[in-house]
Amino acid sequence: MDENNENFRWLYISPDVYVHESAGGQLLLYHTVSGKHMVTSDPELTQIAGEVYEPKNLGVIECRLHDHTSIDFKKAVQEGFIKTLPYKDRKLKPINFLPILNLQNDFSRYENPDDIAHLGRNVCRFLTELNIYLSYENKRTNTEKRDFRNKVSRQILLPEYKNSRLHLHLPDIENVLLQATHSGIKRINLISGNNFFNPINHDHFVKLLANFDFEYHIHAYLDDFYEILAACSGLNVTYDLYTDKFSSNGKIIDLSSPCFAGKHCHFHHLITSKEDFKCYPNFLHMNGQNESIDLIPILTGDNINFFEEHVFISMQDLLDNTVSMHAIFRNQKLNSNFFGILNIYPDKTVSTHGSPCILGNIKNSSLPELVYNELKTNTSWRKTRDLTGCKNCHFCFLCPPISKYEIVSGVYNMCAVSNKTHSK
Amino acid sequence: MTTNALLLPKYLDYIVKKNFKVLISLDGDERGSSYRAYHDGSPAFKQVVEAALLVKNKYPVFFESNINFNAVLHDRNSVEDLYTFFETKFGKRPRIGEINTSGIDPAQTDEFKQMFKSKRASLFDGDRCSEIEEKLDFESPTFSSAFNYLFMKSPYMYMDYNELLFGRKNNRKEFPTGTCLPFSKKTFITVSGKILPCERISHKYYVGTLDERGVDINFEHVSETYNTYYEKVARTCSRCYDRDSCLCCLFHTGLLGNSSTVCRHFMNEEDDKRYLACQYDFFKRHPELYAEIMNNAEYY
Repeated sequence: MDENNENFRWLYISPDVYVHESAGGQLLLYHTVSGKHMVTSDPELTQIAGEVYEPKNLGVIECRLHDHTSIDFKKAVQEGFIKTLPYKDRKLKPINFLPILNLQNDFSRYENPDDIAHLGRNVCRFLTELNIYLSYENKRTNTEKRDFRNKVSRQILLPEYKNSRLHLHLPDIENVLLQATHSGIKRINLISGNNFFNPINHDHFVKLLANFDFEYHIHAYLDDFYEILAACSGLNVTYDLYTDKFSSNGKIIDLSSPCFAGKHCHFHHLITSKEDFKCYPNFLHMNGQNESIDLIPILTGDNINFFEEHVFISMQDLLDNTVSMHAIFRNQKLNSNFFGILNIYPDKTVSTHGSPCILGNIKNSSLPELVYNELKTNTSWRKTRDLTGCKNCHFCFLCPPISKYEIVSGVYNMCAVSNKTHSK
Repeated sequence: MTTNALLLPKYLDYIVKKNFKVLISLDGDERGSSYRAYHDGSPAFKQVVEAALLVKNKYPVFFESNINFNAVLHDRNSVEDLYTFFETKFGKRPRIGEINTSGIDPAQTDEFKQMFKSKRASLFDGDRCSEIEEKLDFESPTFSSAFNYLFMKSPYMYMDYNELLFGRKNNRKEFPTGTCLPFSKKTFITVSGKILPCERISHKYYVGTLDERGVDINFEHVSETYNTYYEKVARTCSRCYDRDSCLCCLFHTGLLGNSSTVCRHFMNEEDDKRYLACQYDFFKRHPELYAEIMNNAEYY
């Protein structure tokens, strides 16, 4: 190549661009700052991307622009995916540090899962949140409500209905909180059924929690709020209160009521259909200034059409929210919906958030041991989309991580991004 | 376990049974190792090599996985000598360190200066610089410097899962220098029972003792002592251009012994530019190592 030729340019792919090549040779270029993307099968562009990513080229190749005439190449330059610099001398070749993820202490690369042991008790730094299910819900109720709320309990932080008076005892909770002080935990979610607060001493409960500097959230149905409020008086806590189609019982629920005044309350309403969405203002009253309601869709098993229409990720959803390179890297290695969170149940068993598999029991295992079990077996914390049917999709790591809905339904691609079929 | 290997034959079976990781101190060939001598001044080289070869012949798998060598660079060896000796004799890549610059008797400064050799200068003095640079990996000063540069500056390098989950902090360092907090990474116990944060620092910085009565560590005192150390170096660090990414050990800065000493890792604006230029020069000479580092390298 004649180095004095003015037609030569240094060509590189912007380090803000995420490049993904599918098995079929199609190329995705996604700009993590502008949110623009292009999918191409153009051999010229595919070859350039391959060369730029060859380690020996360190992100930059020399080229003559008029050698590249394809429409997609020109588009890639115009849209800022590909950039060029003036070429003066081969010795002055620029370097371009391409976005290659390096995760230190990457457990997925350990040949022997037991090698995680070198982290010692420090492993608890990965534990950032606890969901403590204090008790089950055992009020007598009709089958429809019970079945629905049991489905809900597998999707969001609400108690399961069971004919059981089993509940966690204060020494169990204290034991967990003591261990939690040596972890990265900031937030503790307490999920309460109706039969927790009756048998325990309220003062002892409040004093116990107040001894530890965690951010407490109590999650319960609004039906149980008054009992919980009586038990938690004086405790600095946020109430996450949930209503559903069974909550109103024919009456209007006034979220502007003075009983909520001065409390940190977040209201959530569970919906399963368009009708639920239309109806909820008829029985939930707000004054419109101080209250707001999160609407949470619930999978019932026969409302997948509602989910397809309102919950599934569409291409437009993806394009409306620019995904950063950091988020793409994160999605490649861990599940940010679940990572760092353990669930502790009334029978003292423990699972990770996002998995039904039991990791152990707080009576027999310490929190570090439970975290070890998860890091070795990966029941949910590192469940990434490439472990599902999404692995061949260009947008695999651009999409949000696997959700509880997908775990519950077994449908691992709740999206309309690509033309794939739902896979179990 | 770090050892001069002289007692290795005696305890070898036990060490193998307990799966110890063993670091043998040896400074290369006979001339290179000539500073390692018995009390009567006679060289220990022959016995050390024999002990290492005994392990290699008797327990080849253990030798491969558990034995490493630690070599100190000085005026009687070089990076190239060390690489060649260990590669030829044992098929191993040694850990190479410079002579510890702390605790030097002022009366022997000249002698120390004569003995001291910089790892970087020694590497570039050799004829096979580029080849050895690649093969030594982390033990090459240029490779480890380039790795440290990416480790601290690259937006694509994450310390652990938490950093990947929550994002990188603007300044990852909570304390000056890159010193490991005691007991966070390793613990070293000397033959006289002193407990040290690692084997690479002067024994005077011990953090506890071990004797027949048991382990004695006063954690409050250790904490106070470290706070004092940090106070001593903080002023110098605050003026350093590399303060946000320096990974040097405060025990090797020279600042703990004498407050008028200049930190060997201190960078002014010019030094900082030179440092950056060095990293770019390294990647220009070894472009393929960027992908190698990003795909495979782990900080240890």
